[in-house]
Amino acid sequence: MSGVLKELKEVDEIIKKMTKDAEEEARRVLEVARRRAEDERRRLLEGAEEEAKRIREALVTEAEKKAKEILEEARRKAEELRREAYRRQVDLVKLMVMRTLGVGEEDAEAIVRGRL
Amino acid sequence: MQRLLLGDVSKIKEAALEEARRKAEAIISSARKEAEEIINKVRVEAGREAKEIIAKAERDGIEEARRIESRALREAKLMLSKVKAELVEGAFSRAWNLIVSSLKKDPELSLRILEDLIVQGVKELEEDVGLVEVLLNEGLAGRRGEVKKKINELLGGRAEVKVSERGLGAIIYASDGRVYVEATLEGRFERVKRELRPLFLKGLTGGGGGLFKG
Repeated sequence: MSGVLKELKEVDEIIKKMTKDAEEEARRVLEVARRRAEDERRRLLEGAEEEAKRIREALVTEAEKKAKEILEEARRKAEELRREAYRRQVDLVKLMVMRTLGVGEEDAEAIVRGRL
Repeated sequence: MQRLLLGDVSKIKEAALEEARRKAEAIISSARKEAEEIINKVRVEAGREAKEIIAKAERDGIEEARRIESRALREAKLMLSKVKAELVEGAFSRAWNLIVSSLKKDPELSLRILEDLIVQGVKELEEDVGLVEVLLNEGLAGRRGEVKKKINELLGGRAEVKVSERGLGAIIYASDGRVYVEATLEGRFERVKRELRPLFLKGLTGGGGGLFKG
């Protein structure tokens, strides 16, 4: 009878060990899962940060390019205005002379002629 | 009897071990399931967070880009406005220089302008004239007496006439001395300038210009 009890006690020990091992394995599985999850989270967020930086830089670079073009266009237009104004001012100056001095077009023409 | 009992023990033992195995497998299986859920949950959350990071970067980038372009547009408009103002002022300045130099060379024209300015000034005063301070330019500076006489005649001897040398025109005082009119060439030029500025701006700069209009 004592042999039976001994055997049952051994079985009980085995069962306890099996349970303990399973619980240990479960903890290990969960620990690994948490680490993997954290790694994956970090990897995804790092990727997102890099992508975000790339997107923002691309938008800013494009805007800076456009800004440069806008200013270049303005400078070109300013030069064109200066060239055109030189040609256009003759009649306007003549009108100014006519209105200020109260002279006719011919007199104003004579005053302006050769002076601009 | 003892053999039978031992057989039963063996069965009990097997059953107990089998039950323990099932329980162990269940514990591990449950842990695996939970592990999978943890990973899936974090994956979903991190994916959502990543999308938000990217969307925010797009919004921030678009806003920054808009600021950069707006700043450039403002600078461009300011630059062109300054150029237009310079061109208009340059043309006025040339007109003034031409007027001054032509009057310096032509004293008769200066005298005619002076008389015209005084007639206009007297009309503008709308009161009896007491004193006329005549201003002479370089063209008339050497003819003070003659000019004074002509202005006296023009006013019918009704007012005192003083002559000084600065600019061209006159300051016309009412007889009570409290009201006066500045009838100068410079004043007339400034008035004409105000009147013609829009025309000059349009004439010199074309008045168009799409984005840069104004």
